[in-house]
Amino acid sequence: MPIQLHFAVGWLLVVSTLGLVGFWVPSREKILGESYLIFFFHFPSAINCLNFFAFAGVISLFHLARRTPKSDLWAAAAVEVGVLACTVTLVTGSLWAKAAWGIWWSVTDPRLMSVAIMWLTYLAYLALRGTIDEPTKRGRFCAVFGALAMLNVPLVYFAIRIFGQENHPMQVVMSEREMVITRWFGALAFLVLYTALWRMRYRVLESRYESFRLEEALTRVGI
Amino acid sequence: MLAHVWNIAAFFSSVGMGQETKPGLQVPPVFGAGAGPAANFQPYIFWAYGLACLLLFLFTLFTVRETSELQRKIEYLKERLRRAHPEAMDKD
Repeated sequence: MPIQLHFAVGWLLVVSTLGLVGFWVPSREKILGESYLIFFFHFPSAINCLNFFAFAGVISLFHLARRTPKSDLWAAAAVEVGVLACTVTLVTGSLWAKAAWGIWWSVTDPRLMSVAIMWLTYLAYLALRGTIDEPTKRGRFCAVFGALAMLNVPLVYFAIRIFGQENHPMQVVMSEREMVITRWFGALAFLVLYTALWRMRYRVLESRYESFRLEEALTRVGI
Repeated sequence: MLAHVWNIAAFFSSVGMGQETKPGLQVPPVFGAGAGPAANFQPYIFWAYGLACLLLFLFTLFTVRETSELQRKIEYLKERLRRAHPEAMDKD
């Protein structure tokens, strides 16, 4: 599928999710009231940020085994999209926390803190990429970092089982059919949009790589 | 509080998959603490959806802009290389 079409379908699905939230799901939940509506953007971003960090880790392992430039670029693009999804998760989660619990953040909540640590870890990954110019060396260093950073994914998912629950629940149980359908429709919509962004970021990183090669060639011929 | 939540004993006792955390280790959830009959959640919903869409839009805009800038740079570098070293570019 061409990237433009993929991207348009992604946005269309996300807008459809907004439509379902606005016009189809019940506007109130018995405990959380209207604030539960934030869940339909919070959950899809959260699940997809874990997906993309896991993709990045698996591709990093592949890169360590095969050392192809493409695998390094796909892993880096997955981290960039994962960081975006994680940022959306933190922003929507923080607003929901303020609405539902009366606080923006809790430093003792295992789920919140493990997600924040994961976000900072992947920002460090991007910072590491920015500090190394030579593509082969950068690919090797980032692949090791990406493979190790993947440990964050199960840690975030099982944080509540491991460290105990404070505010954030292990899972939010939806009682009505409309809520369940919208929740998974949203997850699919964001997956389509984020994979389109993943392809777009890969194209940017590929262009950067080509530009680096051309600059190197120009230096070799003495210009 | 920290010592209670980040307890190493809790880690070892609850690490088994599919096993629920022991009730004694849980801090009671305060879901709905901000809710009340008069609570107005609409500003929170507006900001959550607005900021999420804004972040996605800015990321897209940044990516599209970067793609076109890099394409221009690659064309320029190819042109310079073609002028300096025509044989090398012909091989490509």
